[in-house]
Amino acid sequence: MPTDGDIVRLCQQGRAEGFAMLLDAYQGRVYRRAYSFLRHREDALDVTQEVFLRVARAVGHLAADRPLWPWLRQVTTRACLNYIRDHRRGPVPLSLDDQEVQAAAAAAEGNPEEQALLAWDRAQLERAMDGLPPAHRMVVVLRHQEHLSYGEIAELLDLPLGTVKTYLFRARRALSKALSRTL
Amino acid sequence: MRCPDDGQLQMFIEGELEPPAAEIVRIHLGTCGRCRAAVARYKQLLWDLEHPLEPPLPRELESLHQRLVAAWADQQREAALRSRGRRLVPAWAGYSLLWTRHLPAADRVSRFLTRTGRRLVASRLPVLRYVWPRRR
Repeated sequence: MPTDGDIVRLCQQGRAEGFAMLLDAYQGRVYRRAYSFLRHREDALDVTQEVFLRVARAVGHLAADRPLWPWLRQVTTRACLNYIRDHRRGPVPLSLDDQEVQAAAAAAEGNPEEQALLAWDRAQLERAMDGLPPAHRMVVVLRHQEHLSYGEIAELLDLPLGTVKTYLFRARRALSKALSRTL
Repeated sequence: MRCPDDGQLQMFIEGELEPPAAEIVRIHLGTCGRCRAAVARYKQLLWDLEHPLEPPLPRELESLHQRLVAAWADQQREAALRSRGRRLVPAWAGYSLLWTRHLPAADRVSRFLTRTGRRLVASRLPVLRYVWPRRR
């Protein structure tokens, strides 16, 4: 398994296998992060492409001794913010494809009986996440899936600290309400 | 005592409250069933949020992988061409300097050619001066 340093060094030597390794290691992760922000399959694919085109231009300037994911997460988050700004004016209803994605993900996790209830709960949560405003959703994802501090989220999204806290509290209250309504 | 608001309860669960404020919330939770229920609900929510459903990766990622590697190869080719062009000029200047400085014989040949060319032009100039106005 190549390390981030190996991948960066190969890319900086202009070798295609280095870039292929970078894609093997991080393409899925970038797609999933973009999907969790945008909640739309095609949009997440567009952003994934955009992110790696930017990476191809910038990888020559990276330090080989630093982990790649924090930088990729930043590029992905910025690309998603731009995408939301350019393509959307509000929450977008779920496409049929996305409903299939969620059903497949829930089914893959759930074993009969015991897991079914948990999978149902999580599918409800996913649906509730779709209803959040994009900025609130991004804050929730960065806090609970990327485990960033309030300060790091504020820096990444270029928002005041108080705004980040407000978004997070409102989002969690909305999620909690949506979930208690479905019970 | 008034119930803490949602924000305080959420910060209490995450351990983000200052110790005195956290102590006040802790004491309150001992007496208020409604806030205890809210805390339990938020704890469950936070657990769910930290264990999300990972969406399956779409098949299009494979073709995207290939397109991106091809785009990378094109970009590297263009960069190599650009840097070769940038290298040629200083290389040419360096070589010409080397010839004139360190190979006096080559320098003499080039000076002879330059001189001859200059003389040739100079010798033809009066003729040209004469012919050119007449033709006009």
